[in-house]
Amino acid sequence: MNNKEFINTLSTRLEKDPKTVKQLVDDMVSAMADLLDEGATLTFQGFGTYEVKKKKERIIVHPTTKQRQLVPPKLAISFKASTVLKDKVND
Amino acid sequence: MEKKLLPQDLATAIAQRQGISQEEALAFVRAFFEITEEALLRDSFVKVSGFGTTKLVSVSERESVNVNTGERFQIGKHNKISFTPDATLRDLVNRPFALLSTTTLYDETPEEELDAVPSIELNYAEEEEEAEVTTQIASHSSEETASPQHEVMEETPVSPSLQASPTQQIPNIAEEAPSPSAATEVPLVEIVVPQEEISTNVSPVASPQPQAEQQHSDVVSDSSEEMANAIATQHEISEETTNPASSSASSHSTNTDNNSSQTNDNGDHGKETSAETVREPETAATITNIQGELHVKTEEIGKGSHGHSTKFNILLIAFVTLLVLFAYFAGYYHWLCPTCPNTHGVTSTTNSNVAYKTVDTPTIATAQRDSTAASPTQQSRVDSANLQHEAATNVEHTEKTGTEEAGTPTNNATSAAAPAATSQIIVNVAALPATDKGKWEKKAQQHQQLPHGKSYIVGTFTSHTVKEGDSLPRLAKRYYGNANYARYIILYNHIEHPDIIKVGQQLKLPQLLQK
Repeated sequence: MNNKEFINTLSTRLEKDPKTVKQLVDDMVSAMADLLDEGATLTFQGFGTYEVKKKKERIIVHPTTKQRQLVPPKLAISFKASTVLKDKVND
Repeated sequence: MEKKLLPQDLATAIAQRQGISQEEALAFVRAFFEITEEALLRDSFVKVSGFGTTKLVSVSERESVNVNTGERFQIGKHNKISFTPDATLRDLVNRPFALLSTTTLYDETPEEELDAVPSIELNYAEEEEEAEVTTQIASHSSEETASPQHEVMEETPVSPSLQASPTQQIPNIAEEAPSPSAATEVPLVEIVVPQEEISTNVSPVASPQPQAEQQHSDVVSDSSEEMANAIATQHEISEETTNPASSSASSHSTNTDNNSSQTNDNGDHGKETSAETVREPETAATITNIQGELHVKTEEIGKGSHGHSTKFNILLIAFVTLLVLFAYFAGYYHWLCPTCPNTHGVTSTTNSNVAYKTVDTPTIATAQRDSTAASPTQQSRVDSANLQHEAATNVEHTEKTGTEEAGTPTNNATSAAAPAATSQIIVNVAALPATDKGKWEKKAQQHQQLPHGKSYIVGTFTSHTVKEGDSLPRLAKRYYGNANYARYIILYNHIEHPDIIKVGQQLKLPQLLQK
């Protein structure tokens, strides 16, 4: 399901016009980004958890050139699906 | 710091932004994830712009081993949910580390230095706030990322012996050495190079000192005990020097130099140490000790990254050689300044603006050049003689016309100057009577002019046949008194490549009117 379909489905569900819904989605995403940026963990019951995890720096070896490269540390958003969702997905 | 937030908290945040009620926002958040879930089950992927892609990835069956019992077992085929954040979201979250990029590590880096990397990682984990600064350094010195940490490890055993020495400054530095941030250590690696240079630089000032240092550095590398001895001996030697004041002063300044270089790289730590060094003037002994320490580091690094420095040296030498070669050829072929005078072989003596005063110049030039140049010399003499003759008649002629025009004998002097102008290759506009000015300017308009030039081209003064050894700047120098006038010759003769003129080529030398 792409973004357009998603917005449309959401707008029919909420009985709002797609433009407002799009605005709402953008706001939600930016709100989530801000909360995650502060180091918070966002948990949605029955769906999963979003959190920012710190990835350490590491050395990789380029497969073709055999050069060793130092990958810098980074902060990445990770999503962990809840067991409920996992079970649903595997049924 | 870490908070567990529920959809309610998110709803509050949305409600504040959008100006909708809390319930509405909560309903929206719920609907958002419900639909995501439904779509995930149906289409196995959901893409929300600005947020990211949630995907269902199928994992095929694989075999694994129970870590406790060592039994093999099958992990069945299953689906996994993956979430890839949108680039904007990803970058927003990763802002603190946005400056960093992947760097290549070279094979020259000794393997033992790589062992130090995990400890750097630990630093990152512990000091997230300082991480930016620390990792900037990491990105600055791609190969050195590992080595500074390595330094710390090697230095730590050395520091106790230094602490034994009866000074307060050494312990300070020793305490700094094992400090966890890589920031303190990176500059120390860099200090070592100036140290080597400076210790050689000092030699003319205090001659006994460098010898002592050399001895010292030879001895030092073996063990920390010997190093302590060496420090002591060096201390004595520096006290015994014939000029204790100058030697201590020089070593003092040396150290301040070191510390100032440290300051550049190191920030606060460097400042502290340099401030301390300046504050305590009686620290000649202390300084020698520090020098000793630095020498130890020099030795260590000499051992540690030997291949590194040789490669660097080779590159440096190659670069300097190229620079020298470039400078030589640039000077010889006038790459940088095509109109500059070619001075070798020419001893031009005249600065006169009048051409026929410089007649003897080609004689000298050609005589110096070639013994067979007799005929050109003669020729040039003949040329110049003719030229002189022509000019003379010209002067006579114009003088006549000038006097005719002037009419009254009182004006004779000024009007005589004006016709004389026609015989000069460079005419000064100030010396001209007002009536002639317009005439000259009209002449100037007929010719192509040099933009921003100091003079106008007003016509052909004479022509010159190019001989061996001639160059445009040289001709300009001979005729106009200044090699910079070559530009006018170039322009007037429409020469495309000023470096290339052929023997026998006819050049028109323009008469110039000074602005």
